[in-house]
Amino acid sequence: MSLDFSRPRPLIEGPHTLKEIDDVIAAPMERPHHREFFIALAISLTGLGIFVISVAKLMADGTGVWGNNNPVNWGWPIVNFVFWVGIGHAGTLISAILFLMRQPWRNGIARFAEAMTIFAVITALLFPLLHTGRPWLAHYLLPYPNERALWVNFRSPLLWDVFAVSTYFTVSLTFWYVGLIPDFASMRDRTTTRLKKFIYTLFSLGWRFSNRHWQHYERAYLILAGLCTPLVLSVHSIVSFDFAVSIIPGWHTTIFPPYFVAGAIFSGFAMVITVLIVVRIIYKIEHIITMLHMERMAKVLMATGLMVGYAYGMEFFIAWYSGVEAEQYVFINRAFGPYAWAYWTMIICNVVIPQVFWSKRARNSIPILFVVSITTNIGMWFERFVITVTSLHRDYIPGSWAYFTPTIWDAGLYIGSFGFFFTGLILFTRFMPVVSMAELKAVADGAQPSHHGGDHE
Amino acid sequence: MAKEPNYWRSFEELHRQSSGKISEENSREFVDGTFDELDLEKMTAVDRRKFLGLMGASAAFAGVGCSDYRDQGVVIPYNKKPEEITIGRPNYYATTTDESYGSVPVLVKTREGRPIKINGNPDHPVVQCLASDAQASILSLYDPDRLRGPYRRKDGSATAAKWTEIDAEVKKALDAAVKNRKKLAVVMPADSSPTAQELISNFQNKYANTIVVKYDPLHSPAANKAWTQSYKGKGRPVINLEAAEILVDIDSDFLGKGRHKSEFGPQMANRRDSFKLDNFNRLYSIEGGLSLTGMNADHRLRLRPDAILGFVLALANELVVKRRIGDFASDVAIKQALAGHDLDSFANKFSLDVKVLKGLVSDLIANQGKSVLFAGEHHSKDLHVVVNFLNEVVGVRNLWSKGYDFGPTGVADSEEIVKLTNAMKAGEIDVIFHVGTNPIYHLPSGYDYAAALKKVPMKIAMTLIENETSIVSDLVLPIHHYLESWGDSHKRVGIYNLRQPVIRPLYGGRESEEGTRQWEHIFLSWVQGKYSEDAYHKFLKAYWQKNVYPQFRSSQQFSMFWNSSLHDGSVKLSVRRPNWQFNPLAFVSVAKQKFAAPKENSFAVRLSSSYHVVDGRHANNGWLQEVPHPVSKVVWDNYAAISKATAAALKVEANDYLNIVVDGRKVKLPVFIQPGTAENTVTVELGYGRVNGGTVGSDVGHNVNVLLGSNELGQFVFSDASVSKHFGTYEVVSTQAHWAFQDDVPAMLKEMTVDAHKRRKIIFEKDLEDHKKDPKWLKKEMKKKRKYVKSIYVEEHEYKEIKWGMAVDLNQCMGCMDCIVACNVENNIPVVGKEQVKNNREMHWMRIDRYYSGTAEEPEVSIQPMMCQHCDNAPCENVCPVAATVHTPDGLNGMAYNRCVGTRYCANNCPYKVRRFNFLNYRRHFRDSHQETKVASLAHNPEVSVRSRGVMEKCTWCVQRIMDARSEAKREKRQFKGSDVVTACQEGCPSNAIKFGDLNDPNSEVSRYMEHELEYKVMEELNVKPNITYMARIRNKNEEARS
Repeated sequence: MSLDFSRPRPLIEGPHTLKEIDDVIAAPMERPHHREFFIALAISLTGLGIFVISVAKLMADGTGVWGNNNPVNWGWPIVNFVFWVGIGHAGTLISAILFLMRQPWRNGIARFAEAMTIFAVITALLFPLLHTGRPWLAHYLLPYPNERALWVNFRSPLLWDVFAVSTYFTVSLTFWYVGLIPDFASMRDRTTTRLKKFIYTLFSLGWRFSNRHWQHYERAYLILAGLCTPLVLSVHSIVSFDFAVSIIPGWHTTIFPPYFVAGAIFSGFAMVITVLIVVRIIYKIEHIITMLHMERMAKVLMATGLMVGYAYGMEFFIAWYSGVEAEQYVFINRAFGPYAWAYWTMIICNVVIPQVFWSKRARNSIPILFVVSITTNIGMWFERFVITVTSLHRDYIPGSWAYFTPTIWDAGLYIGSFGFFFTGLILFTRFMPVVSMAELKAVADGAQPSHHGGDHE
Repeated sequence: MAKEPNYWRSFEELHRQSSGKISEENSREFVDGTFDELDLEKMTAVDRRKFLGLMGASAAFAGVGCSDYRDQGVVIPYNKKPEEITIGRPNYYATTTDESYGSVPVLVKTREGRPIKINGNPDHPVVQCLASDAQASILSLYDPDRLRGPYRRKDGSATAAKWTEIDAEVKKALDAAVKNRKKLAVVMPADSSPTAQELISNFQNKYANTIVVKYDPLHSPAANKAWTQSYKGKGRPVINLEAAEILVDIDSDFLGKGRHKSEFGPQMANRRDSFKLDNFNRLYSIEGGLSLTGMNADHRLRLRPDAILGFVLALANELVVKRRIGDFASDVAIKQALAGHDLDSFANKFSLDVKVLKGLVSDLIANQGKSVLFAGEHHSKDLHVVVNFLNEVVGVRNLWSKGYDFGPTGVADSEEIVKLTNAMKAGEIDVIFHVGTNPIYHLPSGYDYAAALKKVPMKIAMTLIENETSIVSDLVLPIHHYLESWGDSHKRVGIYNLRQPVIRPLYGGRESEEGTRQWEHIFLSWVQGKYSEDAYHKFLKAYWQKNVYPQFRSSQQFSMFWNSSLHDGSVKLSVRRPNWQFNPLAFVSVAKQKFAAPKENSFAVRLSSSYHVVDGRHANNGWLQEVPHPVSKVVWDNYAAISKATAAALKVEANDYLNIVVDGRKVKLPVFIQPGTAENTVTVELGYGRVNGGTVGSDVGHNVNVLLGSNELGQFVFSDASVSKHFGTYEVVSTQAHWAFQDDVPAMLKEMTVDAHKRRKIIFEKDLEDHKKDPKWLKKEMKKKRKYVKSIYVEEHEYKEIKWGMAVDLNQCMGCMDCIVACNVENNIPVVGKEQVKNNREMHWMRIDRYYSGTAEEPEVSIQPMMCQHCDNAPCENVCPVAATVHTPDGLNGMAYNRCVGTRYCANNCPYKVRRFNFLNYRRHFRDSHQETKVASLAHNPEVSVRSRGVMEKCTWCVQRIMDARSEAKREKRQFKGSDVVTACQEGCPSNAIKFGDLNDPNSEVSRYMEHELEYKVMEELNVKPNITYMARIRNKNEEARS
């Protein structure tokens, strides 16, 4: 394929009328339920079932069903929390930051990435809640005047977490919803069944595609994008404070905020790639979510992967440079101690494998993209595991060193959380447009005024 | 009805019609027709009041029904308050326990008539502190497994019986035995109670054909026999440890086990006081396995237990023949007898450190009259004879204290037990009583006791809970716990302890037909022919009036004497110890014998009692099962401790099964690699492997009693054992692994792991000589540490009145774990079981960290009690999102359980790792929620909350005691002082290593320690500002041995 580099690559492949765009995107919602959908739903519902059973067991018996022990008081649930919050980063990043930077290629994937963010953050929020010894008292973490005449401790990073994650969730949800309004209106106009019509009408808030509406909409969207942008950076910075503010060697590190944000974007993009590869095939929208999108995401993946790799190296350097015995021990123990396997899994998945994306061929190969996006997520899960568990299992007092072994219920809750996440996501693809129709039309051929009428020939 | 116009000029006119009558319509209150349907007959009986009443009641019922209020049982106030009880205030009573190593005087704290804590009796003339087992015995009182009434077992099925039926049945059996000229047997513990002895004699008088067998599985008659041979006298002196400069432990573990451990603890501590560094004694330890005493030794020599006799003979040769020390230096017979026992060649053969040996010899020579050697109680008579001789040579007589002791007397040896089993097998015995004894568990299968017992027609077991012997008995009679009993005992010659009940029997009581009875009482009722409630009480009193009271020639009336003795718990008569004459001939005859040296590559096996469950009697006591072993930190198990090299030679790893065969007796045990164990030596603890030990105690560990048997080395030490790998594994769980000796790690990591406690400045140690040269070494070191420390917090806590602080003297701490049990009892610590400990979820609020340094072969051991440091800049307080852990104005790091949601962030952020999380509801741990039963919860301290799942907890410095002392001071209208409070661990520490008090008071004991030159705080560089200070350990090493 010879490319004319004097012109931008088309963001949608092939000629499409605006109606065709609507038709293609609305198709999953209008088609009768098909087989692939049911297979996917069945798998994710199985996962959800595992989740429900794991939670029931947890509620019946207590935190002790997991492998957590005394030095390792935080185990898989916290690893999973950070993992899911990280995944919840790509969406807002793609829609808000890339929007502000006027990157039109984001339009094809923003909606889906945002939806992923919403479900990932909901999944993530479940973990700190379930992870406490007495989840039924979680409201103690909220500062409201109460009969206990007690206030919360604003010095605790966990409290900052409560605010950071809930703010992020609220703003992301609003952003996502505002973006959805024109599409809900389109769906309202297209649907024929009464119930659907009623629901879409309700959610489209009386949108009439008027010029005035568009003006307000654009303004609101811009403001929300502006609000979201610092949040993308702040959420994971604050999540990283859970570790960085402590005094535990391996946690007490100033590099954590940028390192966590880079890691979050890294894992978030990986998850977007994984899921979009499947979705674009299932819903046959390869021409809308094109290889151009995939390639750009691969570039982001590699860039953030390099940042994360730099952080790994810097941690070791600082440990050596600090001259703190316990700190040095933690890092050497990470690489050569009982959890070396986890450490090297992390290094290989996060630093070594993404290097394939130096090659353009790899960036444009769906199988390679798929595999690398999955290994990246494995690697990023292990990164959180390495940080949480290996730092705790041998900290200051050698008398209390121990080894952590997860139980079947740790695994159950983790696998189950995928069920929870995908159930939400699959239902989303069924009932809401996975690609923004309105925004996509803006980047379609001929949508914008141009000198030669948008003619590519 | 059409309305007529109605004009009126006056009210009269208004109400009257033209006819002049008041209209009916207008005279009514209501318009016509309103009450047409109102028929009072048809109305319901519910009137307005009733309706309101019903409504109110239903609202109230709804309110009550929907709330989650649960009736917590019946709370009945005292109708007639006992004079001595004030609700909420404890009462203390002196009484006496019955531990296997002798009776222990105790002071029992009771609340509203319920014992909740057992402490040492501070007024007792010789023993003021308690070991772990006596402290934890409170749990046995409230053991839900206790039998609640007598029962009869016939053809395997048990039926409850009444005491009158039991009495009749026993009487019939006893009479029948007398008639048929058959014998009766009483198998009872080696008790030192004079009154019980009198009672048994009375029983024997009534039934002349009674054999009494006093038996104690841990008893070894060797030491007493050796004493009689060496000194031709009865009774043995008690060593005054405090006066000794040089202590030599010859495989005796005299600090950790044995009759006098509770006396030696405080005496040892007085010689290890950081304020009196010149007063330090020196402890040498020669032993096969690493014991508590060996852990505390300044010099330790690793020697297989079957070579110990050779060692002491060689030492005798060195001292007496070569160095010509003592009165026997020129005795030719002795010289001849010792020929061939050369210390140098012995040291060479067993690769002992020659420098240490030289130091030992020169120390013994230099400190004549101030040295003592302790021979292992469980070793052979020969060893004791030689050590008696050595003690005589080094002048031990100066160290004999005034008191003396007969030890347990009349304890059956194996011949007597064989005689008994033979009589049983021959059908000569008609009735056998097992009084709190359990020979089926304790006796090795060689005695064939179980088979012999089958031949006895009437087997009667008297026991607290079901055991291996009671389940094959025909009559099972539940007895009282010692806290429910009357009794007495000898502590020493001239010292009598009294036992009084501090609680009404939990089950039955009075003259109940069901329930428990005191065993002495049962026998008394058979002697007297009838049962009355206070018969034994009267019997005891009468005995004392007749036998004890006259000895005191007191001017008091007996009742006064009796009451004051009960109050004090003991009486002391001043006695003069006999003037024992040493007889060297016994030594000569022993030394002359030819001893077979241990064979190359053969194995030595050393058995000893467990530190906590002792001989298995405390198996059902969860607290004792879960207290870690002082050295290995293993819980809930016994194991075969071997050295690393031996394990390699046997091709076994930790947790592999070993097959150990001694004289054809076989046992299978899991391997535990214990640094410091002599090569080809296996050390094992007894007291585990109970089959019917109760809910908690059954199937815990392995039964090693099967190995017991007499040989020339004694009953507990064996030479020439065969040891080999057995298939299978068994996991032994310890609260502290020793990563330091792990081999399969990269060199870089290993280098940082070995001695990590010293590299990280958690443990500071110095040899005494070095310390004297530079007493400021630690201060300099600490100054370096404190250099860069700055706080991010602007405001610091202010402590206006009292600021609590603690000092732990690592020189005095022996690592005996008694403080942990004291803490468990005081603070309602749950028992979590082996599986949970395996996952590092033990709940103990304090622990004693044990670190090895040096090599796995000759490790040096450091110990450090570790509990919440109550930091000023507590990292845990900072990170709790719900402010459940907060700082108090007096410097405590408080914990509000109700507020805790269980994020566990505090535990992560604690650099000392002293916080404990309730991962599960641990009260539900055992079968039938053992610890949740009503009876078990009686053991709880009412001053301390019982925590449920999902809540963090930790050491509170016994805040309940602080509050109690504070209100007491307020009540007495005096200034509250730091010295008013004693924490439970401090109280339970036999060596006074823990000091607690007010840091704001410059004259308090802790403040003095804060100024000490050896003072340091753990991990001060983190600037968490801990409030526990440790005194660096000073090792009093011999110059010669060090060089």
